[in-house]
Amino acid sequence: MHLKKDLELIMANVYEAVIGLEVHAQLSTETKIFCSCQARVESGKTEIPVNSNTCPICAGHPGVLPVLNKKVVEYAIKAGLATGCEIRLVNIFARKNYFYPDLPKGYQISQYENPICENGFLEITTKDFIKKKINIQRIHMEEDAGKNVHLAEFSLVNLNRAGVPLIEIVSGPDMRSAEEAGAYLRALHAILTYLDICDGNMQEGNFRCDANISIRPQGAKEFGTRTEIKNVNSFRFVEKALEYEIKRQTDVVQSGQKVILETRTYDSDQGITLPLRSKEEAHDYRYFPEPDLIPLQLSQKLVEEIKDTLPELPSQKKERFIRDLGLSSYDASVLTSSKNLALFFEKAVQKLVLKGWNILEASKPVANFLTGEVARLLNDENIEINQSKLQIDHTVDVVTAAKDGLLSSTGAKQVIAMAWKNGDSVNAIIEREGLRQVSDNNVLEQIVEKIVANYPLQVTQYLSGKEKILGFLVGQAMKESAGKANPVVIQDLFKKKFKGDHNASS
Amino acid sequence: MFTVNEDLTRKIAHLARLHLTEDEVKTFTSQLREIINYIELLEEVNVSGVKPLTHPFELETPMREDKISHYPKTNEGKSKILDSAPEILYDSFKVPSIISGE
Repeated sequence: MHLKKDLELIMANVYEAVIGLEVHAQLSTETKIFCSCQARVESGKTEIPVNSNTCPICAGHPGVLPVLNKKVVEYAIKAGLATGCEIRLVNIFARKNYFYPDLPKGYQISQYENPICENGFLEITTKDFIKKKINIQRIHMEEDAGKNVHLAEFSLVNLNRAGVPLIEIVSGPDMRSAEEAGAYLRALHAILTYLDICDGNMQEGNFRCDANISIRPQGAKEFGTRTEIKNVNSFRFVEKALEYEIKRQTDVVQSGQKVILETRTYDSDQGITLPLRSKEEAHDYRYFPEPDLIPLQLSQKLVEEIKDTLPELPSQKKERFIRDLGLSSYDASVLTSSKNLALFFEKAVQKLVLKGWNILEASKPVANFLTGEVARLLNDENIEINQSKLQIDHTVDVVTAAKDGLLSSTGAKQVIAMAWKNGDSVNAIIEREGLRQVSDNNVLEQIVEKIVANYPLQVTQYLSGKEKILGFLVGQAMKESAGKANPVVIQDLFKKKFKGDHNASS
Repeated sequence: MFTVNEDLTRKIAHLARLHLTEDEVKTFTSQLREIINYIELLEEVNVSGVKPLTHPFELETPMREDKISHYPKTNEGKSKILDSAPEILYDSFKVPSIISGE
């Protein structure tokens, strides 16, 4: 919290941050980009045996030739179309040369001068509901490297990941705060998962982010010296790493020193960034056109065909939720921020509609649950809704029980929280926890009588026109019922009783 | 433009992870200079209006369908790719330590 306050003060007065992000997204194709080895590891599945998905091509044996996976091109085009990019029809690949044991060929096949997608953008909404356009400079196709395990005396190399297709998405230096960077990443993540071209699991490395950040005096035109923060594996950590880095760079500059151009890593335990041991020489990748791949020629017709297959994107879904389901802009934003959450919402509403609910009446309470209690739980545990124990039926049953007066709003929240924990059915939880809201008039009338007897002064005040005191009496009745009474019924009973008494006494 | 000198030769050798003796540095510097000078003859050609060519054939790159085909496995169910490794440990390629000594 301190860091955040400090930051706001610093940034408001003197400096502004300039942030650009590079995202590496693994494409969810079955096979690798240049060979037919299996590429995709389904989320949560136990790790496939070391080096089992390898062949002479992805292991970089001499004399082999790469053959491009059609689906990789299609997915890259989808990403470009969904972010308003121009699609380049003649593509060449390039070699990026460097030595590292996880890169068996000694070069990575990538794209350099002419990426497949260029000049796109996406729109983010900041916390203050301000919309901002973030440019996407380029999206290009490339291959992933393998993985190294470093031991004391030697290193071990697993090439299962070598050759897994990636798209690298490069933003403009357009973000001015950690929060904007987080919003951009979430929006991009949502687009790729809606397109179903990336599994999007950050912990498993499907969606990786490098952040370039510098600070400069407010109003300055030139950029300051930047640092690059590598491979941070959650949205929240990216934001925290950037907040820390803004503060650190500001301190460096204010103490009269200079920011050093370097690569840093984020230590999530300490909440700080640390310099990665810098290599002696600057990178000298010596890009040149990949001689093993002839230029890729695409037709405008193919691009149009792919355009026709694009699904409803987050921004379109959000507009539809507002327009057709009557949701608030906030609710629609939260629900569409994740494909899984949006689907969960739509399926729950659909079930209620099948039970005879009006679609507008069904949408509002389901949205309330998902954007309130459930969003909080998802956020706390940093998971997607399909990774939780909460089922669509839980939501449907809770909403139905609340409408039928069997659950108070507090009770409904409790049920959701318990279903979240153990996955039990809504009815089972209501019975076990005694959460059934009492709407039975006989029981409630007794409570009302008791409260009237216990608080004669307040009753007199009410009868003499001080109607606000009713809230107090209802509150006492709720307390008496241990929160189980239906407050609407209680209030009606009080009114009925006082009206009756009034009539009787006059 | 850059100058071909011994420092450049050493830099290029380092990028290729080649260890050159001082004699070799001298030999390759003069050879590199000759090669570069020869290539520079191309500067005399007027290429205005000519599109950059990255490949001599006017062909389209062929593409594959996204279908899995596994490389043969050994009797123990391991990828045959491991057979060609000089050293293996835990089914991984064993390589000199990367981190320490850097």
